[in-house]
Amino acid sequence: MKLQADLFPYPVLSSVTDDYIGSSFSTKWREKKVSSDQLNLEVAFTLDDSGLRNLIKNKRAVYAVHVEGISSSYRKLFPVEGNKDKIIISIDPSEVGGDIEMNMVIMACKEIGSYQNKNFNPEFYDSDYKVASLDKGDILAFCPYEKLTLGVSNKDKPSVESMMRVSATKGKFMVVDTDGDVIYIRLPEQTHKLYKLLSKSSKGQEQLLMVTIVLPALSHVISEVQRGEDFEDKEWYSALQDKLKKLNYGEESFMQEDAMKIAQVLLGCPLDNAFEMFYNERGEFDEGKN
Amino acid sequence: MKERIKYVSDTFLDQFKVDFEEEYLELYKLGNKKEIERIFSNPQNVIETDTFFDFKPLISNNTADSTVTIENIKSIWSSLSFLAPVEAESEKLWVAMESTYYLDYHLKQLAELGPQRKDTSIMSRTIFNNGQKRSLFINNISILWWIAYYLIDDDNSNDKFHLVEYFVNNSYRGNAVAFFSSNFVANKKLALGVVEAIKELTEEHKMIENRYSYSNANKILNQVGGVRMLDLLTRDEAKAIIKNNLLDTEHIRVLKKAI
Repeated sequence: MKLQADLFPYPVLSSVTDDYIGSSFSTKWREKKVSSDQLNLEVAFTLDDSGLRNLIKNKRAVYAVHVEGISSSYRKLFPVEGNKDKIIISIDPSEVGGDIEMNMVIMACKEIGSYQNKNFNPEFYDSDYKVASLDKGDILAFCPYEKLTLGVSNKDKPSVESMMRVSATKGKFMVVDTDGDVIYIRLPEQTHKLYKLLSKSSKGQEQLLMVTIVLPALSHVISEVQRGEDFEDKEWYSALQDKLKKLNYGEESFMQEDAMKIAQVLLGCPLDNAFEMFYNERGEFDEGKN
Repeated sequence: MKERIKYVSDTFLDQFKVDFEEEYLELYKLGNKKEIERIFSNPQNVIETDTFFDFKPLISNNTADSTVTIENIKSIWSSLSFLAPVEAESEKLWVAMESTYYLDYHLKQLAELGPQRKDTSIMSRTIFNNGQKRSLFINNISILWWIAYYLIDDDNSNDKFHLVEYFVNNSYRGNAVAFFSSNFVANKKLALGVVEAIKELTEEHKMIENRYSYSNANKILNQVGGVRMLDLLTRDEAKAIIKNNLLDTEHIRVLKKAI
């Protein structure tokens, strides 16, 4: 789950919100493989806020790590016991199956009446502002969530090329189906038959099909991701994120770049020589004459 | 009857899904059992494991009757309750099982589909093409296992299936997709708390259950979950949140008190 600072009806301490001034909450974590069926997540919490620290000391709040499978049913909450500021979580990767999300939080572990903190941002909260009451489980501080590939998937992680398939549909129009773990480009039946023949006939024709079929489909998918559609539980999305990272696309640069350009980069710029290759195979291209 | 658990191979599953509309849809649409059995008896396509299970055939007739659904859920659970959740999430498992041991039931279910969007429904109930979590509750066989997994109430010594029986009492498929696709139901005590709340509200004659009972309950807990760690709630606390808030949400069929 992605915690959103603006949903909280009370001040919450996080690097993504300025409800607090002069306070901070951060975590460091690492994974350590112990055996084939045990992976340890070692998480250390760093808190700079006396008010929250007192709540933890008085056992009214606690550090915790929430682990959730993105496309599996795995879900567990690991509160930190005692006054410790670190925890080692043991997970059997075979129980998890795929990517996980981790949220590191400080939460109330019992009802807290009338919570006040001198570090509430005076721009938003008066000096006598109090949170009337907090229930058990209410989040008081959080770090932006982390994603980790932990478990054993049933399949190899798809590459950008392998995350797309071309198949047939009885419909009249080409459709890009993003609902599964693989993106399906569905072509009308007769078109699909011809596609299969052409894709096997020559390298030039195969490259042209990449440009005319795969490239616009991938561009469409990237546009949907940029529009904010939620594909986090899809394996193709995970492969796409990996590839974008390797190409040094950060979140900002990805959102600002043209989707068609990103698609071309992901596919290795197929336009560069697709048409030349096609015409060369037909013996019709001569750079000097044309 | 002891049988081996089966999975389809990765290669076959990939090809099966890519070419489904072109090569396999008609087989399932026309109930071509012989040809499906031929394809799924090919050892290149289907792998038999060394894990045995106690196979019980599912009842294929009168499946609109909730007592039949409950019996089928109990049969699947009796046969396959030993599966770990990560195993029961596997498309490879259910595609193999539906086209082998449970083929009669699967084909009968497909034959009973209405004419609207029949091809789409056949695809959705045979292969996973609606996202991993949703697909588990659309597939004809996996939906039975997963309803049992989430709603068996081990705290009720009289009848641990009481919430299962309640849930499938009306048309449950839509409710299953709407409710169980939500992330928080992975915590079983939350799922039990919500369904128990809805059950009690209907038994107390405060509302008539409909699709919104489940989708709105999801929204309530998702809203709460935006600021609170739901996993810290007990089953009774989750139930109380739903009972205290559900009747005030939209499209709920609230029953007015008799004057």
